[in-house]
Amino acid sequence: MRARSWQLILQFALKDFKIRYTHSILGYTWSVLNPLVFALIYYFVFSVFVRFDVPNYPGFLLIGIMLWSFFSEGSSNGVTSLLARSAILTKVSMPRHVVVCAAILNALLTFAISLVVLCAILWWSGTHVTTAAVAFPVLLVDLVLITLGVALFLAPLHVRYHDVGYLWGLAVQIGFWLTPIIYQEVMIPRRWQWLMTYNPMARIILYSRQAVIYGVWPDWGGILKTTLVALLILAVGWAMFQRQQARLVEHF
Amino acid sequence: MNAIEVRNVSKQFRIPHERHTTLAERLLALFRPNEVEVLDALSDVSVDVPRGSFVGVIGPNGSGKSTLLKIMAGLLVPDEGQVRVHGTLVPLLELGLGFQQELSVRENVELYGAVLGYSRATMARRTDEVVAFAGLERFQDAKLKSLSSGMVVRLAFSTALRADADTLLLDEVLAVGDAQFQRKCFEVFAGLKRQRKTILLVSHDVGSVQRFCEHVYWLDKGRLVMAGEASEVIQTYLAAAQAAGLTTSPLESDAETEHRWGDGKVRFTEVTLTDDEGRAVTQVTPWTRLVLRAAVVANAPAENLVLGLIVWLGSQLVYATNTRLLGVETGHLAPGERRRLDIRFTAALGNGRYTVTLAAGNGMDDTVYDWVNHATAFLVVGPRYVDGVSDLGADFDYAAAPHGMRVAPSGAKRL
Repeated sequence: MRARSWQLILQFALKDFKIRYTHSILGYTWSVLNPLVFALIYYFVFSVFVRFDVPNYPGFLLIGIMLWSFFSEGSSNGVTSLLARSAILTKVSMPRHVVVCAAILNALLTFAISLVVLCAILWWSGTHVTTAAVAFPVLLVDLVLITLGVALFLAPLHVRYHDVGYLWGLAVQIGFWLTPIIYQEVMIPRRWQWLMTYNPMARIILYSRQAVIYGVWPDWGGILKTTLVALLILAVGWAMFQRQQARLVEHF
Repeated sequence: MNAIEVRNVSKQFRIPHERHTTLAERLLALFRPNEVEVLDALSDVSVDVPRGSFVGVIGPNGSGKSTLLKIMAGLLVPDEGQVRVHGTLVPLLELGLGFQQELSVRENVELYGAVLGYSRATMARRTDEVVAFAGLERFQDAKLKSLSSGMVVRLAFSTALRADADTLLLDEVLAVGDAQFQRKCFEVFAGLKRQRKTILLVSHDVGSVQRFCEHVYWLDKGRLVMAGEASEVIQTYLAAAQAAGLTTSPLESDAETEHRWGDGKVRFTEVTLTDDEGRAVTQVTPWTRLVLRAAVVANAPAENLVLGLIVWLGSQLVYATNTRLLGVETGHLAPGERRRLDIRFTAALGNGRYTVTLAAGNGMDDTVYDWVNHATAFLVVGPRYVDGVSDLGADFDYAAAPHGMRVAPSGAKRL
């Protein structure tokens, strides 16, 4: 049964990925072009118009935007994934979490491509990537766990109340500005800084920048805490999903 | 040993009355208990599907067949009762689920195969088999959208039949493809039977159930009406359908309906169906001589009158003829004139419920005076089951033949 789940996740994700860019000339390039263009715009606005004094701002910006893009795309696709595959889910018995996992894996494939671009740009901009970068994979795992947890929590709710999808779309946009992605955490007034300690996405982006862009060993205690929070989010999401999934078919 | 055990299962559906169209109504609705229609889809149904058997479920539309199937497949959770499934089970409620137009034939088989539980190790080999079975080797790298719809159905069915499961649940998916492909499918069914696979077939097409199933369950309005040996249940089912059909005769109403139309210059007023000794019948054995007697009255001058008979099996035309084709003199009718029409015929028919249409019209300009569908109906139940519409009364004489013998000295066709 395990093997079947994996097989299904892989098939769904790969085939969706393949279909996504049919009838387009640039194809997979689009998955990188989007975050790249936005990074360029923010770079232009915040280092030419508004003068942010952030060291290695292109790298700083790009890694933040790419991590957030994955979170945004993965969670949004995940939330709507059950409804999108309702035809299959109402006719074939299969583990239903497979559909949500496939949506996340699909976003992860896009993210993998953008990572290659990130490496190229870091090399071109002369960033020294040090051994501290080994912390990055750990943070990526945390990121995936959080995205999956959110998607598992919201996907069954979205089946019953379609508002959930719209609300989440809104939440992701608000989150983009409330998380230090285009600005630094230190720019936030002191009395608001506590907010960032409760924002696991802010932690992941901060530690990733330290490890990859600045070659600083991040705070392992902080990473551990973030990992625990990520596991908690996944556990809550999983519990919610299991509770809802049995009678899911009746709500489509 | 049972592959599937359904014990006292009940299932209700609550269908809300959706009448809140404006925001104000919606807000008010929050303070009112929501009105819901409660539908008993299944009540206290128990079904056993023994391992290695071919079991059928029949019943009219809305009888709970599909709900039962979905509960067995684990897609729906029963309100009461238990379902136990031994071994793996694949429901085939719809063909070609998740097929993607933009993917190639092979890719689609891989995708659908993964849904149906093909294992990774056997995926490549099975994909080859499926493509070959569907007869689409030449198109295996073509996108699905470039295939004809018949090809897609064949591909879907081929993929489904290769599902790696002990038990298959089929929901009226048999009637696909051309005759040649159907023959292939029947061979696969026979193969599945030899492999001791369990198959549950849900259908309102009694023919395919009778052809394949050993054991049949009959559902009506969510209740189990009868269960038992296939031909016994099916005969009772058909007889009941017959009785239900006779209670409403379109002859009783003068109104124009989908079952009766025409300009009314001539009308059929009565109809009876008897055997040749004059006894009224509703159920006959094959080869019985039957007499259909109808009363005809003219309400207006009717010229070039032609009276006709059509016999149907479901929506399939079995036999049709009329007075003009048979050279029977009918001529003209003056207003108020009455005629009696006797149609004698032989029920050289296979098992099934046949309906009769009576028609009166003008043979010159094809205007319809009176057309009555379902004027009457009768059931043919024979001691042996023959497949097809008609019973030709075949007799098989089978004997040893010396080597080199020709069945006829000359004129025999070489096969």
